[in-house]
Amino acid sequence: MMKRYCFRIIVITGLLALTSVNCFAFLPEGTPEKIVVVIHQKNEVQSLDKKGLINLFMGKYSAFPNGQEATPIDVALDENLKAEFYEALVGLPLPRINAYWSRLKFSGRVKPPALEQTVVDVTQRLENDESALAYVYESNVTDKMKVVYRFD
Amino acid sequence: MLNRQFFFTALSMSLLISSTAVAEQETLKVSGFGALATATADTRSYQFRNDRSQSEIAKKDGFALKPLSLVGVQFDYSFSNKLDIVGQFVYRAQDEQTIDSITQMAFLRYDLTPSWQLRAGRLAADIFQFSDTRDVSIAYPWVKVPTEVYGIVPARSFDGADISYLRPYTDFNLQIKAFWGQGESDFTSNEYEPITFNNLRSVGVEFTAFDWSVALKHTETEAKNDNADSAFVATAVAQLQPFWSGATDFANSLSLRGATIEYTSLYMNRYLGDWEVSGELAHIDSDSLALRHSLNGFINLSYHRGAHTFYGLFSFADSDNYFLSEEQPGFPITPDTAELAVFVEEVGSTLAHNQQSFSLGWRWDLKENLAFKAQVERTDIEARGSGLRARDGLVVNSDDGVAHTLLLALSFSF
Repeated sequence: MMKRYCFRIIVITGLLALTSVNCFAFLPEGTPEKIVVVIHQKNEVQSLDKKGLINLFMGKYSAFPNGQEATPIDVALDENLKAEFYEALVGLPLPRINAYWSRLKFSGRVKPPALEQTVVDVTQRLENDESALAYVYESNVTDKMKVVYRFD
Repeated sequence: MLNRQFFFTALSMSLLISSTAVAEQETLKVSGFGALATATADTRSYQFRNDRSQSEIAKKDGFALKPLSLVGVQFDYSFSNKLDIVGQFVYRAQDEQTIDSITQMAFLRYDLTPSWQLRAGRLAADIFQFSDTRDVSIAYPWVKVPTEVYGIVPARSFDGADISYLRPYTDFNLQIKAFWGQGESDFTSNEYEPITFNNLRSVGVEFTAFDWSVALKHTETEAKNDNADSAFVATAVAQLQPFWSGATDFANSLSLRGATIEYTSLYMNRYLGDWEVSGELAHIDSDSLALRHSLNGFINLSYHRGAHTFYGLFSFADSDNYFLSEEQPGFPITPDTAELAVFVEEVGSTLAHNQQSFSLGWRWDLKENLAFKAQVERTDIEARGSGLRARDGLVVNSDDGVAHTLLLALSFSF
């Protein structure tokens, strides 16, 4: 009986795997636009290093190097931007980022990054929140933002 | 649990705030997790259960959903950037579904500074590395956390408060956390009498870098009461005092009531490109015969390729068998006390687990927040060490056995 169940399950999952032609790829194809990390124009921080960014966006520490409170922002609806950012930051696809944050969030240890729906929302948040820290495409940078990190 | 007044106050605040915060969506976050999972084993003697508290088990020749399936919802309302309240409610197979039993977390969290954090209320149990997220299967590669380590962890949450300190260094971050509180053992079956843990103290030190981490945790507590079986056997043994001068002392040692219990865990993980190796070594001990020292652990090797993770997992639970005639040669074994002697050995064996499992598994991330998992597990169970499996009869009468278990899961978060 069990062997029959096992066989059916293996066949079904195998077929599912075959039909998912892009199951090894979460990143969009093509050359992505450069991503920069930006903060409020009045924020005194001038630059950040990659370790500092990892600390902030991966829930390891919640302040800028000068001790000022930091609020990292994620973008909900632009999955390409989000995927490219985390791939550049820590080399992980979004499912593993989600798994990582599920552990921190659902254990009650850490609050995840604040969530804004679109890049437009992120832009507005950055204009109003001096603690905000977000990633945007370089073409979306406005004169009310300060670039503190550029991904090569 | 014991801090019911505090707990229900926190819970009421959580629900009240949640219900009045609809107009302020930016301060209320609703999220959740779950698993639709099934298990089947090829044996009727040692059937699968996820932990020793479970009344729902997987039976041979059928797929059981109840031992592993669950859904959880988490509310997080922020009063400010520094202060928020969190409530987490998990529905899973339990004999009793009450607000108390489904509430996994309900606490206030206050960030004094970026380095210091205070939490108070009902907190997820942080005894071993995954004990605070054992039900959040989207967070780890396996279908379930290793039963040999986590099947004996007595509770999913405790009532109390913790304080944590975090300091970033150049190559790693250091976190130190201390908890004080109390709680009850977490039995999903109402056939069990919960054990109350008083004066529960826990301290943890974690070193984390992005590609490695080391965590050391230690917890001590005192059991307030016995379960019914231990209490009955201890009372019966004490009545042997007229025939055996050591009866009273031995009866006291059988009792869990007043016993100090210790849990210690060392966890490490390391990423090496697409590979990850992780492992945990846990030690459990008490000054009661009912919970003798045991060494538990696992080692896992995972290979990540795109949306797929393949893993091999070895886990074990090791403790000494208890033989009354060797440990207490003065115990008067006569036709009248022979049955009692068996029950004494049962008390000494119920929580003394001896089994090891080797698992092979596959996690396939279908979407960012949805994963399919399959895991095949071979478990070798030693005689008198079968307490982690669901079975008929006494543990002390159990023989060596082998069980193969197939586990499948769809894990998700939202």
